[in-house]
Amino acid sequence: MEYPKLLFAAISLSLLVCFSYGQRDVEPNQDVYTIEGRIFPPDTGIPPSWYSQTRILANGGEYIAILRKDNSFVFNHVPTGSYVIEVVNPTYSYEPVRVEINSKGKLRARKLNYIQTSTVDPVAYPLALTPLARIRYFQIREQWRATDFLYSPMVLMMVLPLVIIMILPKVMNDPETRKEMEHLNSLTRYDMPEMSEVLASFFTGGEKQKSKAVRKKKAQ
Amino acid sequence: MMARHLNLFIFMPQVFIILFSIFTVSQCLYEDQVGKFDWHQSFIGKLKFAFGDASGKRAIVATELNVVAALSLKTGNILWRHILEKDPQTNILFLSPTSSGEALVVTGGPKPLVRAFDPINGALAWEWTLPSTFPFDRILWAVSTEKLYALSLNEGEDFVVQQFNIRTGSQTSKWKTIVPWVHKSKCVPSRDLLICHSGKTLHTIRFSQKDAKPYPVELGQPIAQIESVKSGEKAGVFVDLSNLESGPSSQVVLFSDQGQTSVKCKPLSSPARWVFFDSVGESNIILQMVQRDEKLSIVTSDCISGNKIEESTGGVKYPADLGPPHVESVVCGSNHDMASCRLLINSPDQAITLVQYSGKVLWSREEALAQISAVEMMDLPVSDKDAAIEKEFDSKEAGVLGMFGRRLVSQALQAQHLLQTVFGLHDPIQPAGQRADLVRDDFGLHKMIVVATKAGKLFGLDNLNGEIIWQKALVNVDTRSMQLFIQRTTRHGPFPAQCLLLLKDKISKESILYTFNPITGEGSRRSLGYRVLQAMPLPVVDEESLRPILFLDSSEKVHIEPQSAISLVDPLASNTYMYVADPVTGVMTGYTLAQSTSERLVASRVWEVVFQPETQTIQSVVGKSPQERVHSQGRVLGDRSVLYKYVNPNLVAVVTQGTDTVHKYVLNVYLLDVVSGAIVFSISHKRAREPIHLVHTENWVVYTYFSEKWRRTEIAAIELYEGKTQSNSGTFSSLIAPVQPMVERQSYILPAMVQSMSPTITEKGITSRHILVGLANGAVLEVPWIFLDPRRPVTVTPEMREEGIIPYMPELPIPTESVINYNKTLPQISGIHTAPSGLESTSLVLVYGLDLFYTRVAPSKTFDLLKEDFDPFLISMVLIGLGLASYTTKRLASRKALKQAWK
Amino acid sequence: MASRTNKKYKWALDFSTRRSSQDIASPPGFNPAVGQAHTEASKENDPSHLIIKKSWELALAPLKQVPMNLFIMYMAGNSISPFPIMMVGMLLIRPFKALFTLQSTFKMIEGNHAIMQKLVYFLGNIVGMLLALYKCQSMGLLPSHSSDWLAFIDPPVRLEYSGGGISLA
Repeated sequence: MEYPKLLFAAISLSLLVCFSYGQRDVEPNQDVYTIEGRIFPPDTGIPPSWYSQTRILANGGEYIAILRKDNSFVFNHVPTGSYVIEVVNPTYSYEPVRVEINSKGKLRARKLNYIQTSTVDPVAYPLALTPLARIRYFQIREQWRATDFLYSPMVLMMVLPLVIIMILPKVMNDPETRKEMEHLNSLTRYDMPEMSEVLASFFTGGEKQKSKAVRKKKAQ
Repeated sequence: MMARHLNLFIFMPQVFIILFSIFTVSQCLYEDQVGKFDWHQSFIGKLKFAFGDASGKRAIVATELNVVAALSLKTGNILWRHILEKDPQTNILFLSPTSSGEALVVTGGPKPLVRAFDPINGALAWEWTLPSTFPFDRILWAVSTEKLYALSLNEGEDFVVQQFNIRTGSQTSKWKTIVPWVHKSKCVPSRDLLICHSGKTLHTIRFSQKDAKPYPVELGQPIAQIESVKSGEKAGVFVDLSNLESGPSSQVVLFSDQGQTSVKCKPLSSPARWVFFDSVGESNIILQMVQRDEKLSIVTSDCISGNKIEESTGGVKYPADLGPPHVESVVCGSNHDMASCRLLINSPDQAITLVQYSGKVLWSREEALAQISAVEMMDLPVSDKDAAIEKEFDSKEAGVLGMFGRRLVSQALQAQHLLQTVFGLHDPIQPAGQRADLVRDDFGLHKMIVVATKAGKLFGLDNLNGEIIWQKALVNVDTRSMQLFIQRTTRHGPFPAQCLLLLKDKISKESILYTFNPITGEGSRRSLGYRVLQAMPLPVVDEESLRPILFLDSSEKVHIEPQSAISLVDPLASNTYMYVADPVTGVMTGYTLAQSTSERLVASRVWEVVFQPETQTIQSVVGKSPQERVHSQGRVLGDRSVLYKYVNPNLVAVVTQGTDTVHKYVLNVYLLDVVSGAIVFSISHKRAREPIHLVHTENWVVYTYFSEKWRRTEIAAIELYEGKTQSNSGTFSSLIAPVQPMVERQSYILPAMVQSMSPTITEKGITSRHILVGLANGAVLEVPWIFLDPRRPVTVTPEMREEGIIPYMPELPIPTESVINYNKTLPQISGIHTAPSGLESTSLVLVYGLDLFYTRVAPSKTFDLLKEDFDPFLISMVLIGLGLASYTTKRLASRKALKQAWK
Repeated sequence: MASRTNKKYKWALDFSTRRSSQDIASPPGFNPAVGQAHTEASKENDPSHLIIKKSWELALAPLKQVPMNLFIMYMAGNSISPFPIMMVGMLLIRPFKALFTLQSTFKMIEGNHAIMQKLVYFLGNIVGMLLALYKCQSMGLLPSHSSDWLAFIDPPVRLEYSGGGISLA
């Protein structure tokens, strides 16, 4: 029973939203509202150009709010609709928020989700925006580190054979190991007819027969 | 083993691995490279209001571009700046200091606001709203003792005073005063007085007081214009008198607080600009700016007697035809010493200059650069020595011996040059009027940026540091539809480079040509006597290497510039087409020159496409850049077959925005062949509206729009292919059996608002192309084409992986490392100009808008340059060391061998 | 070999074999086949046989490499990176080199089967090369597709020229 009710509510809400967004043009007698909020400056303190470089934009500059000394801001003259509020600062990043004002003048703030536009993930209103992080614009230069160098496959490939070449002869000089090695060798020795041998005898086979015959003839 | 390894990539981590590799591949900046290849200049726009703040260190200004800023009076730099709403209807109506020192700004338009800014850090002190029903075009604003007054004038009837508390905005009182002489254009407020003129009479009334009494003043001569005295100690006006017999003259009239005339100064021959009040007596001093020849000098005279007191010895260079300068503010030192006063001058070419009382220019800002409408980047001329070498190849008729001799001479010159650079000597002789360092470099990275601004002022900027090399102000021009053409580059021997600027006369609206040398800025202006509808550079050059330009005028006649080039057109005429799109009627018309004769050029209509203006309006028509080259004619697929590109040079993209009763906004994009008039492809987006930005190059089109349905910006890409076979590899004709291209298309979500978009361009078109996107938050993002590729699939087959396609993701990432302007935020980006450099890997970028930002980008990394951190010294040292080591070990080894042999 | 060297002498006195083998019956337990086998064994060590064997070894060397090459090819994988490229390069260069120095190699081949051996040697190298080429092909290094010639296609010459834009009036 609960489910269809919710669904109905959702549908009616979305319809309402659709109708209210259709009206973009600001009519003079239309009701206008304000969007309020506060920005928390970075913990490291307020940089000198904080007030002039921090811009608060609604819908990419359609509405602009200017930061007060107490770090609060207000958007004035905002008609009903949906607004993406973003704080632009060159050094610190802030998460944008979507604020919706319905036709009755009720405000609702939610997380910005461009992919699933209908999901509502509420955010406290009046807005309280905290810095996410310092923005990283730059690549960090690679630094030469001995471990990186040593573990790189190229170096390993060069060094390992070198080690083998240098150490193996020394090891071989040791009589005991040599004996062991010989033993190993004798173990692995197996009798495989050599290809060339086979071929040589295969092709020379005819000749042998011939020479045998000759010899036999001679013998007779 | 490695082969097995690859198969592990089928799982999801593959996406991240590929993405990661792309980000690391794409161009990123290192922190120590800041300012190495880039520069940034901030502007505020044409000055509208200004005052010097109480400290005498800064001037608070408000401009036509809705910028409120504080300028340092010492350097002219911007101390803080606020960019208010960029709305065509919003504008700053009033700027005034309050009694507590804040800068009070009144903005009008649909969102009228009163804001006060802290003069030191630019923080908002307070803000309150005005009703949007206010009749802003009839209101004069005034501030007096913690009150803001709005005087709405009813022409010839009365005026209504509304008094507001300056901090809270509460209306404290409102009254109406009936006076018949009020007219918005004829009245100015000065302190607490409203001063109007009618005929030969000045009327004054104290507006801050209910039922105040008006006072008339007879001047005896007809008054042309009045301007209020801003140096606040007394109310007053500068009066421009128009006397038919003795010519125009100027007078200063000062009033007492109640409105009675207190001082009437002696009429002066040139207009007065400022009044210095003597704190003791009545001897007020009048300041004038007098123009003589190309110089402005500052003249002061006594108010009563009219005697000249002092004339500045220096004088400011000022073009004679520019029109009178405007003194916005005078800032004096605290000791009332006139010599310490500085004048903030606003000239009609939008330059802001701070001039010392002695006539010395302290600094100057070229605010015309805040509104750029056309940009070209020109190669610099070669140095004299290189020119001598190039000359060698010019004369081919010289004999073998002669050529050999010339070769020897030029080699000797080269050797000399080399020696000079090695020993740090430089040739002091340089061509006249040209700076020594303005010569072409080896990599073609040093260029001249030629800029045409909306103010009608042209600039030549050095691309390495943004320095203004030359400037030229054109007066009485209409710059709304300006076009800049390069007629001759610097690569044509003895002839200097030549550019052509097409604009219109301000009054007659007939087209004007300004032909100039882009390196020096010298040029000449010529009126054409007709209105140009469209212009087109020809694909050939005449015997002086000058590219002729065709003009189609409003009566559909064709003209050519230069006239002598008409013979060149004859063989081309049958293959030359022009088109004009009229956004008012929605008609696009194609013309051919086929019916031209060798004496006369004739344009005849061949096709017409009508975009019904009731349902849609043409927003933009985007063709391909004539500089562009397409290196690769196809795209290699995973199975190593080729998908041939449909590269039609005559294709243009037409964007129309329509309104619909059902969908409200409809966006249409048409790809139109302008030779045949055929629509190759069209697409329609429902509920999509502006801002629309479109990029059209090679075989693809990328555009952004705002999706009203999902309330987000989307970016769509269209790619055109001929198919797996090429229909005609030798020639391309739009008329012979046009193929219908295969169309691939896809759209993505861009989580930002777009202000401008432009593709990178390189000399040969080998380097992959990125798209530079100027965002509303002031970032310029470099988006690799691979991200916008319409072939990005939802499920990736191994073949597609082979092809290097990344799987589809609906939302494009905005990595901060791809922001090419790093922390230099650029407000109100209006355009991005890209130009090829001499290096194939590198593209030069100028982002313009309110600010200028220049940098260079390398979409495929700088594959043709040594790494920046490449150390030739280290490498050579290592090589020498290794050589030495091998030599010594060889010696040691042979010695050891010898020893062993003796054992 | 012995029979041949014997022929070199103009005359010889042979006291040992003739009579004993022909006239006198073999002593009990004597098996002439043993001696035969012995001579056979000694024959294998004789120089001419060794030459033929060595020549065969030489001739078969390229073919013997094939399994090893196949293993290397498998190991190298299909990715284009320095080591696989080096490996493939080696695979390709070795038979090429061998084919170019065919004459000097053939000088070393002596014996009755020279032609056969030369042929086998030649074919072995060809097989090695084909293998390397196959590897190149599977790595996509051979210009066997139209896409490999894409860079050489010139852009088509445009026959018509056009220009214009939104009306400036």
